[in-house]
Amino acid sequence: MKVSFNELKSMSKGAARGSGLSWGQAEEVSFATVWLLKNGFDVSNDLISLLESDIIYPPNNIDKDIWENKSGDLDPIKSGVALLDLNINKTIVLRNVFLPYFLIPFIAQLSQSMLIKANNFSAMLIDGRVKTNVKDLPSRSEEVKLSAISDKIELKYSQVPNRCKVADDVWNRLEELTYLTYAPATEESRVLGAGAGLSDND
Amino acid sequence: MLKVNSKNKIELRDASEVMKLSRMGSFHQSRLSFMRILMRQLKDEKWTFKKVEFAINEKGIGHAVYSAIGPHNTYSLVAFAHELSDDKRSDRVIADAWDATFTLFDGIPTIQDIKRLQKNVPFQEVGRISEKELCLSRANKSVRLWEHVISSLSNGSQPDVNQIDSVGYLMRTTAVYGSGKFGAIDRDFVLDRKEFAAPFQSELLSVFMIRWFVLDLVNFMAKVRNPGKFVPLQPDIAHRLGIGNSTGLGMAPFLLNHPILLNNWILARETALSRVRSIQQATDREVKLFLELFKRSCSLISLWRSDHELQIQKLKELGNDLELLTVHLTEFTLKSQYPWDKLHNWSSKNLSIEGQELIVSLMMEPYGHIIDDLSATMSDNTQSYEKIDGLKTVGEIKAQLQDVYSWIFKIDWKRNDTKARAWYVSQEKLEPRLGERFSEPVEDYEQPLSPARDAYLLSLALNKSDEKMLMAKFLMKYPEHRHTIRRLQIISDNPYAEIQDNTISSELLPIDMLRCKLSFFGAIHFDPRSDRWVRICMFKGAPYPDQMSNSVSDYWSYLEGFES
Repeated sequence: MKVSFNELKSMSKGAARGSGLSWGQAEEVSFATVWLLKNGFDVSNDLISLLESDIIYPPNNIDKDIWENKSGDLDPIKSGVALLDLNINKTIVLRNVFLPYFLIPFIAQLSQSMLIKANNFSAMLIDGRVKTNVKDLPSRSEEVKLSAISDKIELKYSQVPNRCKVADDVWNRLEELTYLTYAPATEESRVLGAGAGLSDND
Repeated sequence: MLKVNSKNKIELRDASEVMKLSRMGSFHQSRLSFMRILMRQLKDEKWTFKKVEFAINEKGIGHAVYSAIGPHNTYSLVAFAHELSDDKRSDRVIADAWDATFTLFDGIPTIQDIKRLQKNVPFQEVGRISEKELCLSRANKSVRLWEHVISSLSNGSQPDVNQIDSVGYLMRTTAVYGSGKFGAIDRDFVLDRKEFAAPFQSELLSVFMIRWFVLDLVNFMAKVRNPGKFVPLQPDIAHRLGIGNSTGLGMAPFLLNHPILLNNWILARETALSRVRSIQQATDREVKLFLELFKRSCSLISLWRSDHELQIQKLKELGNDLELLTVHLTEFTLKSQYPWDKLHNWSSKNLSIEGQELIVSLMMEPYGHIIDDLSATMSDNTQSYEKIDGLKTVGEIKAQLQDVYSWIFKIDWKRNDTKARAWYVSQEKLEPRLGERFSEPVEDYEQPLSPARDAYLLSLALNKSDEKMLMAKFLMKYPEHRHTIRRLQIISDNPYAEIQDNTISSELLPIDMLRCKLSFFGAIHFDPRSDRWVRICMFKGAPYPDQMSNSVSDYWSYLEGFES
């Protein structure tokens, strides 16, 4: 189905919250999802994998220049958010990143232009714009190296589409996850509803 | 020439005074309200309006198309009229059928567009609209007034003006959706259109045209009933009719979810007030206009009815205020130095908050030339992502929290009544609701709509942490505070972005939040039906679209010619 970006924004936030993330983290997931779809990456399917994965982790130690977690793959949202929170402008290596392109929206917000060189893709991020060397981005990278770009390069602006296409089953799953944030109705809540007990037919 | 002494410029009112719900819930429409802005724009740009199609049958079922033609773009209201049994008529969001449903189309719809819309618009939230549409809305009849008007007109007589005034509208909208909802175009993609520079302009253009459709429909249905005796509704009576709106809790969290927008609305209004209070000398013309509008406000308020005890009390106080003001304005000369500042200071000491805010709106009226430009500052067009400064330390954030949220530390958070409520979305309504935290199973589903309590919880986590710890690390340890840290940054940069009251207290009145938002829309006649549901009236006293001309008064909202 075709949805507006506003619909995608609220649905991805709700689904992220429904998957167990905090509201603040859910806002980050929503931002990253909308950013990627606006920039031409069809990530809606992978969003479900991201939200449903329970074997991805934040980096153990963000003081180091190599970010990893011995327990398993890095969570691209928690890693991307930490990169942005620290306003990283130096070389950092991330080891074993799940859905690595979910890092891109956060790296694109850094004040410094950055180059991502992974073992299976690369991307340039300049002034909030992105250029990648592959069409289909990998679902996992063993190594993602991040470094500052000092050369003056300008990336072409590409027109943002005014809708995004999301497969029906993906949208339905996002709805199901969002639904987990809604409280079941009780008799008491019906009685206390905004217009309950008052006649509208006047 | 305007005399504003820059040396004696009056400062903006402090957020700690303005951002209290008791005050926000007493705001009145002003010349910076969005309906007023829309009407000025339509007039200034010489928009024209056309009834394109009226395909309604004798049962009142069918569709109609009305177009608004501006200098650069045309928009069309596509209206669908339905047959609705009385037992199905409900203003609540759980309703699934309405007397009429609408969409605002970008351009003039083709037959194919109408067919597509016919399959979707009548079903509202269950249907889908597209990037060709800007808004989706629906309305129900006021049964008591609808029947009275139809029976009067079909019998060759005009309806009773008192009945018209006591209800105020023939139909009330129960939702007007925009900004990408249900598939409509996102606001981002129409931001460059001048007509949508101020907030909610497409939604209000819809309502302005709905009022025209409703007038046509009531005339048509009265004629169908008795073509031989039918007379059309007289323009002076039609003029008294607005479009009602019934608004519940769904709208209440809006002000919390859009802090920058809220800041921009209040900042514009407070800046306008400051500019007016800084005027050293008022001209005869300005004083005359103010006094004339004050007089009309007295008539307007005398038509304001409510059955709700809270509003009855507020109206009683407002009545006293008007009496005090009437006496004061005969004794006090507006020809003195800084008259508006003096009047404002007097009202702060002598009037209820309702009365004080009425005066704030009224004193802005003669000064369009120095405040109307502020309407361009009221949107939040940046919609930018607020990145968190994770390089700040716990110590710095603690200081910032004390500075921005000092008022939350005066609340005793150990008491149950200070956190008695919880905002949640129900599976049944898919809309925000307000539950009782200690007696309903809703806490696990709580929405982030209690910034005061959340800032307090953040302060506890900060107190447990090393002062030198970076926020980037703090937030990895406490991801539950990420939302509040982001909010703290936004509030620090936008003085009027936060309601400075506890939004989960047992004493919270959600109607205060509704009234604040609706006053910025330009609504009048706030009539709470409970502490969480309010009815209002829109465009009452406005010209109809086909009456727009250069001679339309900027002061239509003061109901010219309504004095009986």
